[in-house]
Amino acid sequence: MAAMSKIATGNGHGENSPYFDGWKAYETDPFHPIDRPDGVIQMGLAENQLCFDFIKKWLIKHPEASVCTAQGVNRFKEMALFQDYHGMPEFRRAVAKFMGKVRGDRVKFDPDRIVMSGGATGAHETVAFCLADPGEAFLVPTPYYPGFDRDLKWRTGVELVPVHCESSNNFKITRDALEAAYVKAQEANLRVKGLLITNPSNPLGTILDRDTLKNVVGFINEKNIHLIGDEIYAATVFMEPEFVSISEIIEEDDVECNRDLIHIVYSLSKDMGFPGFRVGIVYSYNDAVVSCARKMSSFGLVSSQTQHLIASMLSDDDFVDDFIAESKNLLFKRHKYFTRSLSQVGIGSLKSNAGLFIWMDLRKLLREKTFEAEMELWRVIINEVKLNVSPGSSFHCHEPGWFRVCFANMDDNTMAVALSRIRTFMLKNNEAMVPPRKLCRLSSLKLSLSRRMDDLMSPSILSPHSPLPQSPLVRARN
Amino acid sequence: MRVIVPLQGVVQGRGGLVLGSIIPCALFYFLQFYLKRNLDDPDDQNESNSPPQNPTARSPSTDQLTELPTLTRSLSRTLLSPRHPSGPAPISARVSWIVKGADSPYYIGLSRAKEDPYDELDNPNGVIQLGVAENKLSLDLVKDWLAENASEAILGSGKELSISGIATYQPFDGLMEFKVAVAGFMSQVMENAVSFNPSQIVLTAGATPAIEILSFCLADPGNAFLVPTPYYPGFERDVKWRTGVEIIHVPCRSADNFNLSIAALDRSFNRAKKRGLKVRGIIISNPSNPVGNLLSRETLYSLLDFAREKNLHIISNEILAGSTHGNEEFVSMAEIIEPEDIDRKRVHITYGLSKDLSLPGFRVGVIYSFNEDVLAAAKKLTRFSAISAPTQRLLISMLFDTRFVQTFITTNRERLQRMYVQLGAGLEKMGIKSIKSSGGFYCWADMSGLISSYSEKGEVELWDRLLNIGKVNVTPGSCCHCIEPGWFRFCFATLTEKDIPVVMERIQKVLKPVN
Repeated sequence: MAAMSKIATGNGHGENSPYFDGWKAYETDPFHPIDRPDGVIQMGLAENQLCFDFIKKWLIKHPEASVCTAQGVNRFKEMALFQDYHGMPEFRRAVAKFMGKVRGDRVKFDPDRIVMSGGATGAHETVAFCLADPGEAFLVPTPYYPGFDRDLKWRTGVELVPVHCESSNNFKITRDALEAAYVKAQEANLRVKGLLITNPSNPLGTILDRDTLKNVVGFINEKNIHLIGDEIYAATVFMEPEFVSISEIIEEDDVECNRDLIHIVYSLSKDMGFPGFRVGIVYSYNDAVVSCARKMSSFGLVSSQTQHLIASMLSDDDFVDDFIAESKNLLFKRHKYFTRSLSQVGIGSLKSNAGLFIWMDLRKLLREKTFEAEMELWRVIINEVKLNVSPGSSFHCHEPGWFRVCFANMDDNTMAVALSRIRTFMLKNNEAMVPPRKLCRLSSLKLSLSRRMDDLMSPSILSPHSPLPQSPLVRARN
Repeated sequence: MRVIVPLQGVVQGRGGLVLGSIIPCALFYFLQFYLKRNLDDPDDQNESNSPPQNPTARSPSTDQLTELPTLTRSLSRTLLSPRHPSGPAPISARVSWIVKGADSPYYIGLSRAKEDPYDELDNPNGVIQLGVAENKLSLDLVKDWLAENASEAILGSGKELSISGIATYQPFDGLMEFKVAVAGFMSQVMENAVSFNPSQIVLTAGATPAIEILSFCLADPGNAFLVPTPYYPGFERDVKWRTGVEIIHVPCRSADNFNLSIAALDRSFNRAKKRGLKVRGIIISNPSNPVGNLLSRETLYSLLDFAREKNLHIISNEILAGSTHGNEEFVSMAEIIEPEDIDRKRVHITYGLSKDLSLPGFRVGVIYSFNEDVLAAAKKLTRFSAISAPTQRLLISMLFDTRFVQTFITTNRERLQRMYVQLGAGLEKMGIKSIKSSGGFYCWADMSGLISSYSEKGEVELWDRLLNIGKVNVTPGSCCHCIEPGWFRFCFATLTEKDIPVVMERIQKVLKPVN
């Protein structure tokens, strides 16, 4: 029978990672307050559902924004045929304005540089296709969103090289760590084409301070590599310190930067809670990249109907200002409630002021300081506590014991149930240490440990999906 | 020998010291020089970005690419960055690929028509667009449906606004409800000759990613697909660009009415083999673009036999299945596959709502396959090209209204038929014959007798005159890789009946001999 390609049959989709195993557990037994009160509560999905009512009110008040209503139908013909990959001008203007507002209007975005893509997923892949050839690499500070292993690598053939960040300095990105990663990449004969930073960070929920950003900009200019700033959580900064975007840093007088190296990935999935709309944005300061990405957007154009809806919504200045404020307020409240409740039962987390999640510190609950112990603990959390949280190892965290827990994708009642389960578990845990033997018997969850073992055993810091461990060069060195 | 002997001498300590030292040094020097020139040299990048010698050799175009030729000049400026001694920001090879095609007649024509569009009242001397295979003839029917069935369509079947049904993450390969609706629509469009199974459907944001996803799934970089010419210019981008897959042309000729012959397929397959290219599949378009032919049942059976013999996949692009206008019967690849046939795993169909429902802006594409493994892989890849949830909700209601769908299909076919006949007749009056076709939105016309030289150059010259003097944008066959020069595609579904005499007049103006 005619065979399929390597891309189709390989593991590039990354769905064998523990990050996705938890999702599978949730899917077989999902929590429902009435039908399945003992089901698994989804705390592994970074979705923002807090502002739905707010948006619903606007949609009902503005039926003309939905092209299907009698009021909106006159624009229908244009919209039905519109497949220009430049995107609707009003859509681009509205998105540019929104991006500016989210950054406190400290910087203006040019609508002609706004390029559409199939969600941020598509935006990342497009940028990787534009900046790097197969076999080249990007540096990515750890811990990072597991989806990057798929989105940046799968069809592009690009490699990711981790830049290790440590809890001892709150996972800050240091110049030393960047240099070390760059050298390691060179030693592995990988040509580094760029550095990808997520700011605000997923999974940390922290923002990069001005000094770090300037350091980063200095580093990429010195090495003449690209900087991709994933700012998809920009509007989820709910507390001081204020968010500083890459777009602001490059405008500062004391910063020397080649703008052709700067690219921003954005989306409405997190800031507005619209992942279903599939609105991804590539914003590049490099004309060639804008042009190339624009042509690639044909593979993931935003539906014209959705462009029209977004354009109407984001052009409503009052709505946008109120929305941004309300979203921050609700996130702040939820975050405070969640972190305070956790600390009351002795669970700490990294101090954060952004994002839809917290980076929970369970190091003291580990039987020993290993990733194996982290996996055991995670299995307990899924099977006993019935919460789907994401283990730090799936984010390539260098230290075991950290977990990402999402708090914005549920209503207050579900949050209360989740917290009571955690409380119960911690009380039980404090009463008596669970003997290691009991943990080992919990094997109902099939996990792909082999991937972690490879990471631990191999001296190379490259991703397990990398073809390099098979290369004679690396083998010879080992 | 002269090089080796002195070296040997040096090694064995016998002499030839001078040459023996100079030659390796010289080789080393030249190696450094070569590496320096070809690897990191920024000037090299600029060279590869300059306009190509042969503008129509590669035309990575679609029905709406509108790149301006000035792109290459501004590109050089941006790439050269005097403040930074290490050179301009290095990007990927894929960026240079698109710049090469920027001067194709396809781009230029689309761009000109966009800048100076014809309007009967406001701009009577503007460029009339006959280069875009879009269908405006029956949009009023869709608009009327929406006007009557307004709000329930998007917000939730007459119930309360269900925002979590449209805003939250949905399965990337489409809502099951929408798959059911699309499967039903496809059956209706093909006159219920086939029943499509919703669980064999993967939905994508348009047919463009559908084809690219199949290309990624069925072939590795460096492999090839056989594609009959002339073909849709967009395949250059969809099949080849990011995948690294090749297209091998299978020429179809006017003597055969541009119908596909298995002999030609075989010859092209062997040609590919000789070049060391592994052929993974065949891509057919049925109805075809730009010719408008339908593939006969016999041809489809022969194609399946050929695929079986050579162990190939078949991708059947059936995006125009509902846009047939003649008396010929449309036969889908799905119709000739037996449910128990083991070779059904070779067959994959791409479809979409851009042509048959005139909704290219809504981005709805379909991969329909009989191969579970291909479906599983394609499903994972739809995360990069998923359909917007509110758009799916809107269309679910529309497609479930089977009476509306039936009225639309029938009326649309009648209107297409009328325009096809009128345009064809108008061209014939000027001595321009078209291939008798039954599908699509265009006439495939033979103007080979009217070009200055029987070559691509002659064809492009005529295209240029038609655009600049006649102010009519048509698609020259070379953009579609037609092996015979002088053929042009005239799209009629963006025109009204009133426009046809105007078009004829303008063409006549161009063809009048200069005295």
